[in-house]
Amino acid sequence: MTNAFEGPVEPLAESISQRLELLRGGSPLDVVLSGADPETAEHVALAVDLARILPQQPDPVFRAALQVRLQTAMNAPSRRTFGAVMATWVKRATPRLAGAILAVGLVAGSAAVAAAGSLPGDVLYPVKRASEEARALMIRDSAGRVHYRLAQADERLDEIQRLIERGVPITPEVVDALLALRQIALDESRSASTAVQKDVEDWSASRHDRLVAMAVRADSAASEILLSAAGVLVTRFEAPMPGSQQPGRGVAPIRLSSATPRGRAQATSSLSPTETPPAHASQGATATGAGRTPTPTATAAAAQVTSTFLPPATAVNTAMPQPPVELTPGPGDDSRIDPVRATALARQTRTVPNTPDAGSVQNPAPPTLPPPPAEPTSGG
Amino acid sequence: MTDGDVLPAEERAHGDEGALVARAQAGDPRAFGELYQRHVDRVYSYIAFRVRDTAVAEDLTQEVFLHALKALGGFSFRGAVAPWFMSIARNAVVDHWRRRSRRPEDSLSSLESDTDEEESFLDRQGITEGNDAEDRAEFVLTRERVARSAIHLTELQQQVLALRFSSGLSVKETADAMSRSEGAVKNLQHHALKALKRKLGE
Repeated sequence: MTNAFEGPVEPLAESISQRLELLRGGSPLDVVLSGADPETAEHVALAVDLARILPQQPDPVFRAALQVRLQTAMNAPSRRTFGAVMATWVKRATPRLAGAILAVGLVAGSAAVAAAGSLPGDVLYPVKRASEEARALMIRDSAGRVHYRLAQADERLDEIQRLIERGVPITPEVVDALLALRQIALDESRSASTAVQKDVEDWSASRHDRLVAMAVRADSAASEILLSAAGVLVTRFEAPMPGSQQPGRGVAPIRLSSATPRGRAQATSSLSPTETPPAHASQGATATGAGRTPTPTATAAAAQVTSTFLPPATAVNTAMPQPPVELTPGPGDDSRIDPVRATALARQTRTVPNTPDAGSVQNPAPPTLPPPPAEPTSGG
Repeated sequence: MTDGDVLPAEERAHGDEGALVARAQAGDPRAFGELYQRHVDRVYSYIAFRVRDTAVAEDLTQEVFLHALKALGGFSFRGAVAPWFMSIARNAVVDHWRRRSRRPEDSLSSLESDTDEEESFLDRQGITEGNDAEDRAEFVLTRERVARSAIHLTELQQQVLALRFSSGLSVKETADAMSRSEGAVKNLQHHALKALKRKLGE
């Protein structure tokens, strides 16, 4: 069977391919099909349909979490082998539940309320995460989605804090959830205003500080995980490039988390400027792949795939009805930031052009949380 | 001044992935993250069409990129990265079915659309103009129907359909991803479309 296709190109096959190529080039369908025999036209039309309906996007949480996983694995290959990464991969049960919760509507509301205070490992925790995701689907404006994701990430941060207080060992999965949500916010913010982007930056800087502060107080195992996560927050958060002339780009990738040793004494040294290239020289230059691409968001990336032949289908969440959105806001409690660390960070992350004075890092304005819904509990 | 400026101008302008690959091979996680961002959707889309199960598709997508990460050092860039990722994805799906040891005719979704006719399928070309929930529901149904019909195609035909239309590769990229000639891909594409059309009409 295979060999039959390795022979010369059949005329019809060539004709179909050429017409599809024209479509890829942007020619309208009717022009492309003009003069085509019926069979060619049928096949081209079928191909056009396929190109429109087949592309699928991964779940955005999965998408972001996998990126975090991969980059973490690269950052610290010695500590966490690929096998370990696979073994500890966060099973994505929670987002998948979102649809189910949506489907049963407010019946699930009571469960969600009961689950609101749950922690990772609790029976009701998946319900909490799922109802969060269900709500995320209902936010129309991108600024709202960014702030919602940050608030979710804050919720993860609070959970980590409470786990530590309970003496529960911190696992990479818990931290990955936090990083994944921040990643989504980062991606989403690219299509939002610069003020929103600034919110994400401020949030990242401030939560980095808080993670470091938590790490300093935690036991060494948890400390390592928290510092690694903190490192991801700042390696992803870089200053804009002042210009496009960036000699030596890519030479000195920032690998904070691999340079982050165990223990609190060394934790401090890992934040010293000597171990970190100057922000303006390479941070901005080799900035993360964290969505800083021509196709930063899941939607845009999907458009890239979908639009191979034709304009993409409209993104799902822009067409969702808008039921009430209710969110347990994150603490926004910056008082827990260790001022010493914050100052160190101010030096490290803020020595860039066009940034506010370093003092603002100690108390960055918390991002505006999504406005509370008009009717938090009534039917949608 | 925005984050879009972080990529070198030439990379933005020409989509030159060679530099990204080089940086990733030198151990820059952000470069690999960038490659991931650019290609994860097409990898996922290919796999999702082939396995028709979201959880499995996510597992395999992760496998693909972990494999890519491990194999990165041995990858020699020749103009495009997509065929490389997609060839890994192709093998991942083949291995998946090999592990399952049989084809999934019996694991099909119970979504039934037998009352649909081929004509209506082809007539549905215009549906992307709308974006309401009904249209999206039809999307899913139709994709499901295509996926079920595609099961009856040969493995290579399915690969071509998925690479070309689910992942959006060009003929050349598809040929590279399948280690075949462009002519072979064109022929496979033709026969795949023909067979799929027949199946959809049954």
